[in-house]
Amino acid sequence: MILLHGFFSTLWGPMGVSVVVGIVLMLFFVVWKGIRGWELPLLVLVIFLFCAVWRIPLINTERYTLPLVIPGILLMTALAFALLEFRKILPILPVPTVLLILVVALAVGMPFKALRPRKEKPHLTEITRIIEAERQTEDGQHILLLIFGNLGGVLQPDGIDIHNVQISKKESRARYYAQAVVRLAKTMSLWKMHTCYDRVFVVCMEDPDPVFQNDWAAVYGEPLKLRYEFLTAYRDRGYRLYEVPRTSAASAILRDPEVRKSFFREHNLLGNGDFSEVCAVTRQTPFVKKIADKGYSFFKEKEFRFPAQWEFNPDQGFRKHFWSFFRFGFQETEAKGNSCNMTSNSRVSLWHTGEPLPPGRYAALVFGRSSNDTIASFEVACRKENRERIAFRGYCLLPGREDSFDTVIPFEIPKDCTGQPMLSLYRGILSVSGVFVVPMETFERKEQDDNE
Amino acid sequence: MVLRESLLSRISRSADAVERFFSSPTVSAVTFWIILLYGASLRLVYRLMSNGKILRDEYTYLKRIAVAADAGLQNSTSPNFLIFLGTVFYRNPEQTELLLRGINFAASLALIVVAYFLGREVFNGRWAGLVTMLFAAITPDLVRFGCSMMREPLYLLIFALLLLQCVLYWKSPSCVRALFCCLLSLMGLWARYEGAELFFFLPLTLFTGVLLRRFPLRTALTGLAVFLSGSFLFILLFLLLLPVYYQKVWLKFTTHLPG
Repeated sequence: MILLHGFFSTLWGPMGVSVVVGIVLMLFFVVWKGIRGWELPLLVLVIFLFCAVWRIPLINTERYTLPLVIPGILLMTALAFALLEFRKILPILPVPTVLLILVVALAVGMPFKALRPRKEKPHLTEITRIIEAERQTEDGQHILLLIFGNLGGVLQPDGIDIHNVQISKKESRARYYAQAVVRLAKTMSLWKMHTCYDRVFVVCMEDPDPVFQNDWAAVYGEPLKLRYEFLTAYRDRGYRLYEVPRTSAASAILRDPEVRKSFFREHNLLGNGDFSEVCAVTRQTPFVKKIADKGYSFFKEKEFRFPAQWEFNPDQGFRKHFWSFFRFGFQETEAKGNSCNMTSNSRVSLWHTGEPLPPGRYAALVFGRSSNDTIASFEVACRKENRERIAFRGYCLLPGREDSFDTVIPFEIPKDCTGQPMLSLYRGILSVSGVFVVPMETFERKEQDDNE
Repeated sequence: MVLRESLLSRISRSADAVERFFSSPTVSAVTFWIILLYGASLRLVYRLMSNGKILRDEYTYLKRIAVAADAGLQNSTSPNFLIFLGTVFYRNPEQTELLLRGINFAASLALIVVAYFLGREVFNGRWAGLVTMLFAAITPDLVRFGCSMMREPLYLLIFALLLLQCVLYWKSPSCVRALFCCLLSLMGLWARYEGAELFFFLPLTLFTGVLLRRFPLRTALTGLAVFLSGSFLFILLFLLLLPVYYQKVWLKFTTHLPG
């Protein structure tokens, strides 16, 4: 499915469909009229299919399917060729050929559309100027810009993160903004963002319903601070730049990495989150045996030291392929604490097997080091009582590409479920020094205490 | 009924006329240059539209090139073709960016040209070459990566060249062509790690050729033997020579250049 999706989006929808129709038509004519004249297109088809199959274990983005375009465009030409070749049988066939080429050529119009003369958009310049000015007040500030809707152009500020949330045409404005607040509140992403970013701005198109501001204030304590407003005469449209006030005392405290770490350590619920307890693991240990069954030789020594209450889960994509590799190392240091080091190019998961977490809202802090190309996630395996089925909730562990990471992840375990945290490594090198989980109430209590 | 028949025959005649028109050397040459110019302008326009924005991967490559240029190849991980080129000609990030974009732009245009030859050879007609060329010129993602600092344009060019070589081998098998396929496969592997797939193109061509009785088993086996031994030799030479070449010659060469 990933391959198909990548292929269609890389080759652009109509072109992708043409390729598929080209293949079908070509094979039809080969069966009907014989192979003569179709040998080379068939060779192209063989190479195309080989490349597609070759890519199945490799692709993680659409870019990986791009080389399929080369045999793909030849197969599109095969479609045109087939349609024209058989015009003696069906004289109408040249018409779809011309239509095909025209439709595909229309794709060219798309880039040129962006170059059409446009009215000046002062809000784009002004929003950029404000953000740039804010950024320069303190050097190296991390700024996040949340855009709700279509801004009507591209903002130019450099070195800030922009997150654009599109509004569906089906949604009414008031409903949309209300939902946005709820969504943000539910995932506590603003709280999380304030621990990652120094300033958070919000841009709203059109006039947000007053309910939006009230909802916002109810959830985050203080309404958004209006920084800039640009109204147009066109259908009451306006562009408003708000700054999200940093009202939460807890989030301010949690900005300091050291304070944050000690706070999480103090209120941690997860047993052996810092890997300080270590136990000996032998070849007879169940999870080692399971991994051995999958074809991996886990270690050569008879005994191995492994963090207590943690184990590898071999059931989640942990399969031996000829291209896969996996290394695990447990490092014990007095000064910096213990750490789990993993290197892999296919999915491996380190599960917490201690007491499962009860339902509720939590925040996890995971810290350690990673390589530039690492892809890893923090996941929670949720299981209902008396049920075997496990539902996984995944969260991004490495938002940036820094060498060391210190990520706060808010998550929720639904009612009637218990959850077990786990770390999944998909690619690269990951060295985890600690995983702490704190209930969200702790932050709320802390905030109340600070306010009092 | 008569009216419909006359319309259909008119369509068929028009299609014949169009095919004849585009098959004439002069018209196809003019159309060739128009499409090439069109493809080039699309790629440049797209780059202008992106306002000099550097993608995350492009930034990573620039950083790796800068590190490799300072520290040498032994400290740089997996120096792919693009990073190698950037490191060899490294002056400063701006110039390197311009150079890599220029190389990729040229590779992207060359791909359009190769697409013409591919279409012409596969379907035995100039018009088919022009249609394939048009598709290559306007495919959105080929336009998008045309001026980028990514590995794709170089890899795609090598991919298309190898495919063309396979098609030509199909038409007239020769040992030189098989060796050329080895060289292109190796270049592809150097350009992108999944380029190992290119080493299967000629064997696949030989296999399909035998299956469809295009050439006898003996020719196929000879081609395969030449290809395998050539690949082995080229890979060995590449692994042995690249670090030596890089450290002893190019680094010396670049450190003695002004700027």
